[in-house]
Amino acid sequence: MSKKVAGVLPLVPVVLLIAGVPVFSGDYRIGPLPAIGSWFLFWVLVGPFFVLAADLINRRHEGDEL
Amino acid sequence: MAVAIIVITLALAGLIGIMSRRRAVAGDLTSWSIGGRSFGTVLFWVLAAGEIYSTATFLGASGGAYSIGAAAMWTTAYGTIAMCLGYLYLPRLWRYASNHGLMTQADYFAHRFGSRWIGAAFGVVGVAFMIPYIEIQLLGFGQIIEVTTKGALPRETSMLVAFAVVAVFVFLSGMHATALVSILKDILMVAAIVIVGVWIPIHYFGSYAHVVDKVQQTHPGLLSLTGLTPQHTPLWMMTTLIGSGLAFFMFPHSTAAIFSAKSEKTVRRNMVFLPFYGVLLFLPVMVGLTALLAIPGIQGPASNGVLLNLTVQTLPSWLVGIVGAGGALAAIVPVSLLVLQSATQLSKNVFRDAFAPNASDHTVLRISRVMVLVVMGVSLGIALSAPTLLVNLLQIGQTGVTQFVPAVLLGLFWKRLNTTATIVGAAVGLGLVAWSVLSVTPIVLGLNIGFAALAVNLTITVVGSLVLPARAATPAHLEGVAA
Repeated sequence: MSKKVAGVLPLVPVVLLIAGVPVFSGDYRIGPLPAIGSWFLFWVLVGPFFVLAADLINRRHEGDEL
Repeated sequence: MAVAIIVITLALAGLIGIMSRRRAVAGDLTSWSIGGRSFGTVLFWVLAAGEIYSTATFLGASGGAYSIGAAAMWTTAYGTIAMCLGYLYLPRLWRYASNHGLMTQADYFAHRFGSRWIGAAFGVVGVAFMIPYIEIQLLGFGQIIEVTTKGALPRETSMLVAFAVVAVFVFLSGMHATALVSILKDILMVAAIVIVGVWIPIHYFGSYAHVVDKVQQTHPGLLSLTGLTPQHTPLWMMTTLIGSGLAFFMFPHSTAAIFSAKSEKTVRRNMVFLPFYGVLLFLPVMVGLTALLAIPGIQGPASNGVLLNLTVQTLPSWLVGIVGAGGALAAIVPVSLLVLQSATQLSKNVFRDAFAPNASDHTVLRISRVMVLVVMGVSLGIALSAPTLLVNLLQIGQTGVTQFVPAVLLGLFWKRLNTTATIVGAAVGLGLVAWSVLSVTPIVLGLNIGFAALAVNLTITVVGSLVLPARAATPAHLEGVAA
């Protein structure tokens, strides 16, 4: 995968987390938290994996360059 | 019992801080100020985690959830945004600093824009923004000690103890002390937040879901963003998340923590794993909601004490001691980092760059150590004479440093960035922030003021850079900047 993908991957959680705020702004509960809290918790848990994927791609490219 | 645990912990922190002097290279400003750029993954992790879990988070998140409900939820998510964005620019910032031997954020501005006066100006502004942050940590420290010891150690006396502990170990050991004390702080802080965050909601209501259901029944709209107040809107939340996420690493002490990393790889690795720490941030929010049901009716600044009030009311004395000790160190670590960087910026970027360009590093180090006492003294004086609501102060600081974003980010990635346009943009952004604080207008057109000011700042910076002529040559200070 290209380095451009690695540059875009960390932005995915940022964009989706923020874009989802209006959708989860209602006065209801999802799981143990208010809807907006559950939406944030989901991205707190999942977001780092996008960064990890970007890091793996970057490291592979660094290996190729060596 | 609680008093004994807290006193022993503070003594241990002081001892670790003083002992860490052995790791510092005597008379070396880089070693004192940023640990000689030697911190590996673990030390860098605990230093950066100190940013996420400070007293402001500990008390402010629970107090915020108590008083404004869902609107306080931004505190749980902005760290994730900051780390994701940080992965994209912090390694480059570290490389730029390492290549050019930079120690402070003001060094970066001075070098990038080729003017020591610009560095001095940003240095003064940065210190002005760090003082309120030091102040709220000291206030939080005093509150934690007073409540968890049930008044055995009064607030004012506690703040003097914090002053003494931080002043001594920062004076002697600098960043090495901060990093090593951070390890103890992290262990106690995680223990404290898990104990409180799990024990209290379940003790009172059986589960988190019951807490949320009851709050939704008794306070309709508080846990939603459907317009209960101007803060309870999706637009305010979205703009607060963007502004706060961008501002996360813009505080000068956060930049210094980045500079202390051993390598780019250390920075990258931490941006992957640090966000997981944010999971724990939901616990103080749940305690705040539990307090809303268990001890209703608290208003104003006192709401920041709800977590402590419930802790003392509910937990056995020895657990209260652990919570108090964890909370106390959660104040001391950020304060030490803030004081360290304020002192370094005042001596290196203001004193040397503006008034004594020929001063040696040894002289700057000596003045920095004196500045540690000056900055701590000023902050303590303000904390004792003008205490204010924690969350509001945090917002003011974050709003201000948001205006550094164009200078830092565009400075790293855009060679055409024009110095005049950047300075004018930052000045206008800071002016808008100052106006919002003085006129008590934190929301403009439904937007977080920090975001609105940043938008104006960015527009001026980008348009100005496109219109004004770019530099003809590629001088040394642009080495390391992307196209």
